[in-house]
Amino acid sequence: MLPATEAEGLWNSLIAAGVAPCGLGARDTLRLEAGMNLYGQDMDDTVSPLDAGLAWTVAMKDERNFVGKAALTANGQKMQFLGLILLDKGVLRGHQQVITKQGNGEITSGSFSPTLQQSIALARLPLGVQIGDTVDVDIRGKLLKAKVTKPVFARNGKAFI
Amino acid sequence: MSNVPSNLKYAASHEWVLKNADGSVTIGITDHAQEALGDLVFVELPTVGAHYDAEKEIAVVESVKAAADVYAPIAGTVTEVNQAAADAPESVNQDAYAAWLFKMTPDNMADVDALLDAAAYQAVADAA
Repeated sequence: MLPATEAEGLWNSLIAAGVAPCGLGARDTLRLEAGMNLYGQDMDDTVSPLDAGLAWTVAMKDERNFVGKAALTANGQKMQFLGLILLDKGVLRGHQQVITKQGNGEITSGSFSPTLQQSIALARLPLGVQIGDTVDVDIRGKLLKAKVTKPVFARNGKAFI
Repeated sequence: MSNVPSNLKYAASHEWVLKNADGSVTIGITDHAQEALGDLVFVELPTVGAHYDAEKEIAVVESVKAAADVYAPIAGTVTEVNQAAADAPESVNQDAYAAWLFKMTPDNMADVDALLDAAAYQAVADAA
């Protein structure tokens, strides 16, 4: 850690050395391309980990018990957490409705992917929707086409889809 | 400091308006607006022939960070849209006054004259 009085000098030295300043927007793009959940957006304490793409973080198959296991077992998985790539022009954003043959879902976060040069999103979709399906997204009252993907879009700065 | 050309009129909602010799006006978003939004990735243009009241949402510009409505600075009818700006949203970042969005025929030319001049808009942009 650094004394507060040194912060400005360190910042200026880093800039002088060619380090690019990076804010929350860049961080959000990176984590979205990598398919990483953001708390408060893709998950929160009202959403089951099974519906938030986080089943890998809970040892459901292990014999050991843990706080919440009974609730997860009783409720099961209600929705699936998948990716979307917008096929039409526009930008996917959180809270837009997704219309599928199996029912409606919702985008939890979306943005424009600089790596793919297309808009991408993470979405909670009804069970039964398959990767590769084409679905509709309601963007300001217009239905635009999007393709369902695995919720990972880029790895090491390159397209992963 | 953003660029505010003195030959244009402005709306406080960050649109610029240029009066053309043929009685139409050309409209875009200001340099201040494009700078605040950051890299634009999508532009949704209005429909040619549609009529809009003043201060109604007429177009949308989206950057990586946010979606922003563009408002009709004056009441009027859309006569032309700049498809090149929709095809290359980054052109608005490069020169917000060259990459116009749409043209309108105002219901009342006096409405255009009543918009902000460059100095008044600069004050709005500085306060934002």
